[in-house]
Amino acid sequence: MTFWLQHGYGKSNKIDTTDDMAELSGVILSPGDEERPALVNTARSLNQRNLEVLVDPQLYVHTIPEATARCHESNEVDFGRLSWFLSPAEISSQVEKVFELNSALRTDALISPGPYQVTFGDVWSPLSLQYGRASVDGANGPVYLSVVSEDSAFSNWDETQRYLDALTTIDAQGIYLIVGHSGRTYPLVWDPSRLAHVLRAIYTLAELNRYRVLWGYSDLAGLAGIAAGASGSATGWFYSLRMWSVQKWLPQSGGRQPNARFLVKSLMSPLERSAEAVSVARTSIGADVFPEESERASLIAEEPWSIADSWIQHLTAVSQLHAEYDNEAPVGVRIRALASQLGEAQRLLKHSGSEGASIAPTYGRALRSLQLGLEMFGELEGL
Amino acid sequence: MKDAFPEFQLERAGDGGMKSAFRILDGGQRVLKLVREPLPEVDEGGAISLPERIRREVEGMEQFSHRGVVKVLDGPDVREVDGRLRVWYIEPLYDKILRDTIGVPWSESRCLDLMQDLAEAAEVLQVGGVVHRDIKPSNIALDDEDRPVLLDLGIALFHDLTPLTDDWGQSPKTPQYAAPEQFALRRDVSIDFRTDMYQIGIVVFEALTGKHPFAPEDPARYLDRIFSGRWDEVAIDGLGISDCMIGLLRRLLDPAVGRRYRRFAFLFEAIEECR
Repeated sequence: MTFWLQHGYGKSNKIDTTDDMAELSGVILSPGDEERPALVNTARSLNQRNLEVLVDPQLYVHTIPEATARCHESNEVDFGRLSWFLSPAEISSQVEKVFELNSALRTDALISPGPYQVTFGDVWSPLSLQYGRASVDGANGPVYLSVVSEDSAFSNWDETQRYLDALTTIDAQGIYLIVGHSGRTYPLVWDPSRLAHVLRAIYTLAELNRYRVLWGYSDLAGLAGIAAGASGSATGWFYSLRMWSVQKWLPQSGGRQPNARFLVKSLMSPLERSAEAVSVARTSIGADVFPEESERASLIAEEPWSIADSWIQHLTAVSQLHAEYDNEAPVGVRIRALASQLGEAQRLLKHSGSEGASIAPTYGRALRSLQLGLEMFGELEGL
Repeated sequence: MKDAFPEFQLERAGDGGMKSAFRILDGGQRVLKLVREPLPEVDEGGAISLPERIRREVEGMEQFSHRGVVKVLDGPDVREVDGRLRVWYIEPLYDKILRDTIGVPWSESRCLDLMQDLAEAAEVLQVGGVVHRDIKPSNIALDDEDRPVLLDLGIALFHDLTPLTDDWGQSPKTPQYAAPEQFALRRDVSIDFRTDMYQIGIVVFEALTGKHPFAPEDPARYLDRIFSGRWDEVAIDGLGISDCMIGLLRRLLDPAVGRRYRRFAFLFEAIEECR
């Protein structure tokens, strides 16, 4: 299974419900969102459900000016404002704190602490490797190396490759990848060439170097990551858990009032339910877009739909999409299949629009960016 | 030489870049290596210390006990030869050098054996913290069973020792067999066992096709070819080389270090899949 849940604020029963309804591999816990006693209880209940448990130590928060995380102090991972000229002793001490947190949560593997890198030539880049190496040297079990960077870092492939050359000297089990975005539009419209390079990095790490790559905060783009070789991708209930941004960690950044959405699998798009999804269901291709008759009938009847319903439906639908690419087929086959599915989704969107369905153009652009990124990746790797 | 080594009957076998080799005619398959330059240094106390490079080479050879890595049988030591102090040591003498046996394409199965044997030897070095970084046909002997033995750790990298050369320069190398990272400034790259993997890739390609993959005899744009990984496609045409073997070579000869094999074990598995 490749689908992971990105834990965050306000979990209530969302994890349990998702696990009941979806093929969930594990959960990446956030020490920024629950105090230690509550986080320990969450981890325990996940263990009882036989879900894999990891904790993102979120050290990157402390390398972003002004950023804060509410519960880091309670979880003893509040490292204050870090500078890039840390001493080896300071790094060791922070890594030790992360070990202690993992021990308290009885995680299945350790995610190394990692700083936020704007580029792979960032002053933090060598330190990110040092954190990884210190984690591998001291850990008792498997380690995922954190790589946390802006998507802009992937605009320079030579620099990315040099970073990967160094990263692959560390003998860890896996890589925990976070790619940040400055845009806040949802669904995310990728720069296709940056996405292609993200996928190349995943392919290099997963397929060529045999790391287990877990792509956090990746939402639907995570499908492209799985096709490129990642062993897992994570998303969550809030927008801020579906795409990582520095803004998430800044004070008073707030969040937008969420829309009640419905992730339409055939369109691979999280449409607004009351307006967009309903209008598509009423077109002549409604039955093609919504092959489950009960789903379509519910939309046409405009049955009540809460934000909570929308969160769970999103996670369940993403997990079902994941299942389609969780297979042993070669990467080239998987990316062509996904690109084809993205093309078909765009065709259906366009057709729905031509019949008057009210759909924002962002969905088509987001799908197109994923498709182009996949195709560029395939060409660059000769797959 | 006769005066310097009266206990041996010697016959000049050839000269390398830094050393002369003399076959020992009376007793076993052995060769005496005599370092021409530099001369041993004499410290303030009058004791003779070996040049660092030679000391490392020989200590490196003594460190490993593997059929694929050459051993030191005697020495190193210093003698006066023609009025000057010189370092010498004795190695096994091999009748065949790989350089003399390639040119006519080998079978794919024999090349897989060669790759496996060379990689096993390079892995032994890696475990000992050493990168050979000068694997080339003239540095590979063939033993009685025609299996390769790595010779000459003269420019090997010892990870636990300080570098022999200026950090701002390039890594020591034989240009025709060097990996791309050996042409970069040393402060910008790090050399590890994956450099040896690259060189094994060149050697095996040469055995397989009879030709160097990047045509160094045509120096124009040679660096472009190795940095882009564009090998001589004509060399492999019509030889019936399997896709699996080509895939192996592409990985070994990838210009990016991080796209070769992260562990020798992964390479061994890939070789096994090609058999």
